Order: sequence, then C-alpha cells, then structure tokens
Amino acid sequence: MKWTIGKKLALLGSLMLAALGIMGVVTYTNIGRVIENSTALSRTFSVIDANNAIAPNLFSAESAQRSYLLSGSPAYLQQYRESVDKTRTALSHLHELASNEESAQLTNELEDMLNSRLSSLEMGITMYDKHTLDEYVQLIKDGVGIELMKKVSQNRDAIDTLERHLAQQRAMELTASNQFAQAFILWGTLLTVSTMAAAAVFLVRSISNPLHELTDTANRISKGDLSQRSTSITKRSDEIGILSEAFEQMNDYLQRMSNVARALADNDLSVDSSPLSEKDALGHSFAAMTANFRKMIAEVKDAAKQMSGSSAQIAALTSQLAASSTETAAAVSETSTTLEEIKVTANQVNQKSAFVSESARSTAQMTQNGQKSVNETLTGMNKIREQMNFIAESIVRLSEQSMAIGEIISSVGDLASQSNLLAVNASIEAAKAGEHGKGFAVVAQEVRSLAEQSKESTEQIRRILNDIQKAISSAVMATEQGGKTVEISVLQSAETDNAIQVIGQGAGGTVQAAAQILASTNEQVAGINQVAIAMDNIRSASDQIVISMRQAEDATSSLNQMSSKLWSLIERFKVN
Amino acid sequence: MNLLSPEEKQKILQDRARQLASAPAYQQDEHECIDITRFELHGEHYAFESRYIREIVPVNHVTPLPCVPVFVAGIMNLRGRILSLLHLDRLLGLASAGQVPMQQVIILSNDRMEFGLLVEQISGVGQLPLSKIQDELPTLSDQAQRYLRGLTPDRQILLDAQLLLNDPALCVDEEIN
Repeated sequence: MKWTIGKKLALLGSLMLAALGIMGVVTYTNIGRVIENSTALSRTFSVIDANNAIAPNLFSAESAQRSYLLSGSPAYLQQYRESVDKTRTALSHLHELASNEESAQLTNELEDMLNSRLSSLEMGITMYDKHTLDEYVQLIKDGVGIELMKKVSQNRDAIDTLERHLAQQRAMELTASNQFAQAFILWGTLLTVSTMAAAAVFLVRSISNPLHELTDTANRISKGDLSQRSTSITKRSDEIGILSEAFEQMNDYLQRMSNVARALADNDLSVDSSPLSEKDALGHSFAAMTANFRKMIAEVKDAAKQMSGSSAQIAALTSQLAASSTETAAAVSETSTTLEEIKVTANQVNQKSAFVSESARSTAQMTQNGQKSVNETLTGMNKIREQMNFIAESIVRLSEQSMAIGEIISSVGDLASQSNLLAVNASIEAAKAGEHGKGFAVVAQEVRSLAEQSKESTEQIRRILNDIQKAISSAVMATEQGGKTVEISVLQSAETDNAIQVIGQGAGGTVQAAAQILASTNEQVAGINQVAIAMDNIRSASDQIVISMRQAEDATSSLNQMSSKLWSLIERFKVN
Repeated sequence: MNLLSPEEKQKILQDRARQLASAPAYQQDEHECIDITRFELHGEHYAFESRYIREIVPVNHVTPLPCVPVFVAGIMNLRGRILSLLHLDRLLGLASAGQVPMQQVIILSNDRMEFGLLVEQISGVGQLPLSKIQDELPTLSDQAQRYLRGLTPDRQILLDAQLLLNDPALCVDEEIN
C-alpha cells in the first residue's frame, strides 16, 4: 500500500478526528448533563417565579375588582380582567413547569383554590353588574376568601420550598459533572495536541521540502531552464512523486516544444509537431504555426518559381525587344531615306502638274476660240439655210408656174386632140360625102395636120415642161439635198459646237483639276516634308528606345539574379 | 458562126428600127380605095371603114346597165341622145380586157343600128386600096375572125363594121320579171 500523502494526511486527520470525536462526545454528554441540570434548575426557578407571579396578580385582580365594585369605572374592570388573565397564565405556566409528582399535586391544589377564588371574584363582578352587590359584600364579610387565601399562600410556600430544595440538589450535581468534564478535556487536549504536532511536523517535512524543490523546478522552467531534473522526488510513490512526474512530463513537453522550435529555427519544417491532446494549446499553436509556415513556404516557393520563370521570360522578352528595337531603328532610317526620294519625286510631280495646269489653261483658251469659229460657222450655215429656203420658195413658185403651164398645155393638148377628133370626124364625113367631100377631105386633112402639129408642139412643150419639171425637181432635190446638207451641217456644227463646248467644259474641268492637282501636289510636298521631319523624330525616338531597352535588359538580368537568390533561400527550407 | 459584137447588133437593130419607123408613103392609087379609120386597141391596130363610122367622140360618162351581156359597156349621153356602148375588145374576145382606159368611142351606125365601140386611141384616117386587103390571120380568135374583113399591108386588122352592125347577137333584149 502506497503511503500517499493523502493517506498520511487522512490518517492524521482521522486520528485527530477520533480524538476530537472522543472529546466531543464526552464534552457533549457533559454539556448535555449540564444543560439538563441547568434546565432543571431554571425550571425550578421558573416554577418559583411563576409561583411568585401568581400572588401579585391575584392581589391585583382582587384590588381591581374591589375598585370596580367601588367605583364602577370600566378602567378597573379592565385592569381586573388583565390581572385575571395574567394569573391564569402564570398558573398554566406553573402547570407546565411542574416537574415531579409532588409539585404537580401541589399545583393542582393551587389551581383549584385559585379557580374558586377567581370564580368568587367573578361572581362579585357579576353581582355588581346585576346590582346585587350586597350579597357579595355579605359573602366577603363571611370571610370565605380569607381562608382561601391562607391556603393559597400555604400551598405556594410548599411549592416554593420544594422547588428550592430541588434546585440545590441540582446545582450540586451540576458542579460535579462540570469538574469531571474539565479534567477530561484538559488531558485529552494535551494528548491530542502532542500527537498531532509530531505527526504534523513529520508530514510537513515530507510535503513541503519536495514542494520547495518542485517550486524551484517550476521557477526554473518559468525562466526557461529545462535542463535539471529532480529524480529523487520522482521516485516517491505518493502525490508528490506523481506531481514530480507530472513536472517531469511538463518539462519533457516543454523540451519537446523547444526542440520543435529549434528544428523550425533550423529551417526544418518537416518536424512532427502534432499536439499531444485536444487541449494542448502550445502544441496546437506550434502545429498551426508549422502548418502555416509550410503552406507559406510552399506558396513562397511557388511564387518564387513563378517569379523566376517570369523574370526569365521578361529577360528573354527584353532581349527580343532590344533586338527588335534595333531592327526598328534600322527600318526607320531606311524609311527616312525613302522619304527623301519621295520628296524629290513629289517635287517633280509638282512641277509637272504646274506644267499641266498651264497647258490645260491654254487648251481652254483654244476651245473658246474654236467655239467662236463654230458660232461663226453656224451663223454662215443659217444664212445658207435662209438662202436655201429662198431658193426653195423660188423653185416652188417656178414649179407652180410650170404646173400652170402644164395645165394650159394639157388644155391645149385637149384642144388639139379634140381638133384631131373633129378633123377625123370631118374626114369621115368627107369620106361619106364621096366626091363632093374631097375638097373638104383636104381641109379636114389640113385641120388634122394642124391638130397634129399642135399636138406635137404641145408634146414638145410638154417635153420641155417635163425637162423643166425634171430640172425643177432635180433643183428641188438639189435644194432639198442642199437643205439637208445644210441641216446636216447645222447639226454637225451644232454637234461641233456641243463637242467644243464639251471640250471646253472638259478643258475647264481639266484646268480646275490641274489646278487642284497642283494644289494637292503642293500640299503633298508640304506633307512629305512634315513626314520627313516626323521620321527624323521617330528615328531619334527609336534610338532612345534602343538605349532604354539595353537598360531594361540590365534591370531584368539583375531581377533574374535576385529571383534565383530568393529561390536558393527558399530551397533551404525542408518541407517533408 | 461568129457572135456579133454589141456595136454591130446595135447597128442592125437601129437600121431595122429606122425602117420600121418610117411612115408609109402616101399613095394615090387608081384602084378603088376605101376610107378607113385606124384605131388602136390593146396594142393592136385595127381599122373600120369610114363609111360606117358616123362620128368619133371622146368618152365622157358611161353608165353601166344591169343584166346585160359582158360585152355591153353601158350607155352614154351624146348631145342629149342615149347611145349604147360596147366593149370592142370583149366582142373580139381579146385577152386582158379592161386594163387600158378606153378614151374614144367610135360610133358605128347604119340605117338600122347605131352603137358606140370603146377604143383606146384613134390613130387617124386613111385610104386603103381594096387589093391590098389580105385575108386570114390565124392568130386571131374565133370571134375576131368572125368580124374580120381583112388585113392591111401594114398589118392593121380591118374589121367588118357592117357585120357588127347587123349582128343580131349584139341585140340585147332582156326582160326583167
């Protein structure tokens, strides 16, 4: 059985308790007796008091009753009632307190006597109220009350004596028991105190020294010194030993935590810092810290990797950019040279367009002249047309007249044919007349030949007329043709006029266009000059860009170096 | 056989033309002559004896008649007298009738009959010796043959006016019911 401190303490305690218990019991019984005695004593005194209380109250009641009977004042009645009550109360009190048979008996007798006395008093009051006081006075005179009162006081005295005797007895008993208790308590206390002191000293020593050591250990631990161990105490089997073991464990725990911290300080994040229990605050914190650290390191590793990748990319890009900006600078200078050529060409174009403008203007002038000539031609044509019309009119008149001649000729022809017919008829008649008609036949023949001649003449005239008609018609045709030709010429002149107008417009348009071309080529030349200037600016700007690119390249390479340095720093952390 | 050159052909043709163009000589002949009147019809030259010709008038207005034979042209008003006109070409059975306008009317008359014949043109009068009248032209139609008197030397067809006048076939006696 391990004598743990608790058990030791328990033993000590139980011993103490036992001693205390005994003492207590003894004292208790003693005190009980004392109390008994005291109670009995006090009761006796109470009996005496009660006994003594009865008489004044009774007398007061009597006095009050008498006063009332004498005065009839209700105040006396009141006093009487109060006194009666007090008496009865004291009596009942006495009843209660009566301890033994004797006193009880005496008390009963007293009660009877009091009752009779009180009833007589009461009777007196009643009689007063009924106004039959004289009877009562008679009674009083009879001396009933005096005897009763004597008996009452005798009884009372007996009770008193008895009680005093009892009291004395009891007091003696009380003193004896008190003395006994006193002695017992004294010796018992002495014994207990000595024993307890010894045990306490022993126990204290066995507790407080190790506790001191443990306190020192705790102080050391609180100061961070985890090195020392107190093994002697640990070997004990009691609570101190357990406590010391617990301290050892705490030490171990703290040592472990410090190892973990040391490992973390040495960049070893793979150390196991899992908490020992749910309530291991430090372990949790360390675990959280290591986890966070690992996560952070992992993220930083990623970031560093990305950064090194990006910085490598940037380095590549800047070198590309440097190369391309050099190319751009070369291209810009080429463009600048080309611009110079373009400038020269533009100047040439400008000159040519000035020349074109000039020739367009002269063309316009010439078209105007042409137009004038065409107008003159038109006027001439119109005159010709008028003449043609005149000729046509004349011819028409001629034709009309020839037609008139034709009509006349036809009528003459008619005449001739009729004459012919007549001549034929005449010759027929002449033939019918035979011989006599021969002369007439000759005449008829002559008439006929005349008619023939006329006919021939008419034929000739007709032929001439036909010729004239033909000539007229040919003339008309010629005139018509001439008119047509004139018309055609007029049309052509109009067309020519139109054409010349168109040419004129075109020439005007050409002049305008040439002027515009000239203006625009001027602008072009100006613009090209500006472009040349801009090109120079671009060239200088691209040179600057090249320089800046070189600088950027340097900056990127240093960035690259730094990122690799960061990477190497991060790499030192061992994560799993 | 050599082909003649165009100029030679022309020359020959012109000689012929001249010959043909020359008018026949006026002959005063002892023999008995008749007076004829020459006229044209459809390009052919015909002639009547002047004895039977009463008059030659120009045609003015021909009023056609219904229900008459085809050779009847109609009637004409001659100085207040009604004269019946006949188509000579249809009488003679000549083809292509009615294309050339008939301008002259030869009025044939004898004591019994009188009518007019539509002809194109009167060529003239003349005398014809009886001896020179030739017969028979086979190219004439039958109807023409009927009325043919003879042929003149210059190939004019002499028609028999007497026959025409006396021909009962030319009498139109129609009644309309």
